[in-house]
Amino acid sequence: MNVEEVPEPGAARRSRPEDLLAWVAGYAVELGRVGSGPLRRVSVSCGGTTVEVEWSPRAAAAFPAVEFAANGDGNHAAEAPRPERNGGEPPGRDAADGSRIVVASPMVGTFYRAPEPGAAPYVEVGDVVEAGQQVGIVEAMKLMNPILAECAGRVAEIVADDGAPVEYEQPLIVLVPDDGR
Amino acid sequence: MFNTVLIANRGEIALRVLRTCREMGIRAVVAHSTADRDTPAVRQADESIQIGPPQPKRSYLNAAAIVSAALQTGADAIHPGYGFLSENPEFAEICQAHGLTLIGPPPEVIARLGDKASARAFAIEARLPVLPGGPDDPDATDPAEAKRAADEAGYPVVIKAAAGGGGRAMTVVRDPGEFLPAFAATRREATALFGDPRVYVEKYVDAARHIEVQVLADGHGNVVHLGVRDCSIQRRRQKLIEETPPPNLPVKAIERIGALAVRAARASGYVGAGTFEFVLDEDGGVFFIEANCRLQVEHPISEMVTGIDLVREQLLIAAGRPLGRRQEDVVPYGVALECRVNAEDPFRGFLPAPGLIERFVPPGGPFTRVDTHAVPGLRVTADYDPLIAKVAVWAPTREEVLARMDRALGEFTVSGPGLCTNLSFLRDVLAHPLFRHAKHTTSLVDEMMSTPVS
Repeated sequence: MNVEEVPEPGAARRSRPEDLLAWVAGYAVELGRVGSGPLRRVSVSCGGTTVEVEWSPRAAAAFPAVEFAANGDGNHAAEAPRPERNGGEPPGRDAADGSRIVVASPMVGTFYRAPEPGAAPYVEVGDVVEAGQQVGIVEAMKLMNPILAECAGRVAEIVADDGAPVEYEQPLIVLVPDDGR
Repeated sequence: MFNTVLIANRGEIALRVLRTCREMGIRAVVAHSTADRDTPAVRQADESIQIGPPQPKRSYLNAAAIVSAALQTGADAIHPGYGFLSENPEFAEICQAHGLTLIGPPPEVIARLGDKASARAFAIEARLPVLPGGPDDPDATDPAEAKRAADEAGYPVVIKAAAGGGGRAMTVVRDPGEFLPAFAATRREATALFGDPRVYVEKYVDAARHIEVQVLADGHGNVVHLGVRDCSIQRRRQKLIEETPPPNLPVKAIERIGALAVRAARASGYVGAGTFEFVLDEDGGVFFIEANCRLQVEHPISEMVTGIDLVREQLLIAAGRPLGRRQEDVVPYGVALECRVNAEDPFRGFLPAPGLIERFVPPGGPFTRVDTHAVPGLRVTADYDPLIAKVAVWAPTREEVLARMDRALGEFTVSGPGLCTNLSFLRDVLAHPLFRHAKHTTSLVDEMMSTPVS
């Protein structure tokens, strides 16, 4: 996963909101193009101006994540810019046997197994999923964030309940490599 | 009163806020990053919620994550502590839009006072004394105009980032010929650190004392001050030792500066606990420099001399209660001193020296307060500021308070692999003749570092 966040320029900050939004959206599209992998997620927030672009994992190596702290403060130093730590991301693979792949929540929110109430769940235990396939939703502040399988596998367990509040990095679904049987 | 407060901070201040919540019977939820999941505040919380990875930008500075966490845990208010989102007007607006009370002043007050350039413009409008400088339009970008303001103010001057804080993106210029390159460099630094290139110029006072007034303002137009703190002992323009009342400052002067801050708070429509900062020059001139729209790191010393719990007052004010006291009811007594014990190396320019805390024995004893989140086994990481503990002591007189602090710091044991602290340096400052005789200014630490003790 790769995240790029852009500090707002002072000039844009004081222009009209619609200009700012247009500029931010334009920047997001531009950023989306520079990744060699398929675009995975674009998140634009206008207040405080953040653009986050995520490419699929395969492109990650080519674009080391860079983070700019747009909001400095006196007492807690966020030295910026500086490279993101490897340890910051969900561990993904279970350390014990290396075969279980945990799909964890990328944010605080509410986990949903299906696109809407009453609809069929994205996945059930036993299903085989492709890398990049949607397996659920985490809703945060009314935004539906698709949860994608980072690699192919078979769904071994659905850990989080439908509609359950989840924390950052909380396991949602466990995959095991699909050996074809 | 609130039922549940979400604490959107970490370290000692998360624990500090949590303790008052507990005393008031308020449920406390601690929002934390993955790096802080095993800390005392998280363990003591009624509920905790993991909001992101160690990088502040994606956890403690992530407004969406914090608001989601508050909504998810049923919090009706958010205490931002200090630093992080505590002075972010956009965050205050987001909280408001989601029906959450942010414990602090209203967004428009934060926007006006939190930006240093607009705070200066406010002070001029409110007829508060300010240092010569400019340009008066905070949005001006013309280097020649800034140079003119510097020339008029007279050198040395300091170029400061409007969005700055924590002493970063600040450049002192002593020679007019160095102004333009320094101006460009500070703008670049401000852009990199704060995403905002705006800077302004002020006369720089070499032999200055840095003093500040703690105020409390409710939503009904009542404002009181809790006395004045002297924060002249700084390194890298960050405070190291704070004292109240300021030594060698006549009671009349303290009252006058207190009244000035109360007037500033009223003029700005301030609500909550806040701090108005001033510099005091050699001739006794007082100049407004900035306002802090939050609880300060050094708030315990004001609590010790007044007997007022500032976090409790913050919560009561945010819940709409009127202040329970008038100015004449605030009667500071005695002297209080705070030392910030940091994981840093004084002999390497006070660079943070993070590491693993193996042994940790904080001081105790009479009138000795230690605000800390540290325990043996805690790793001080480079992700956050290097504060390990705040030691605050009280005594009836300054002489006794200095002896008490030296005793307390002498008791303090912090050690571990890679870890380095400023404990012995703090004791050197306490023993310094200029500090003992209260003749010190903001340049004392630099003087000590450049004059080796023989």
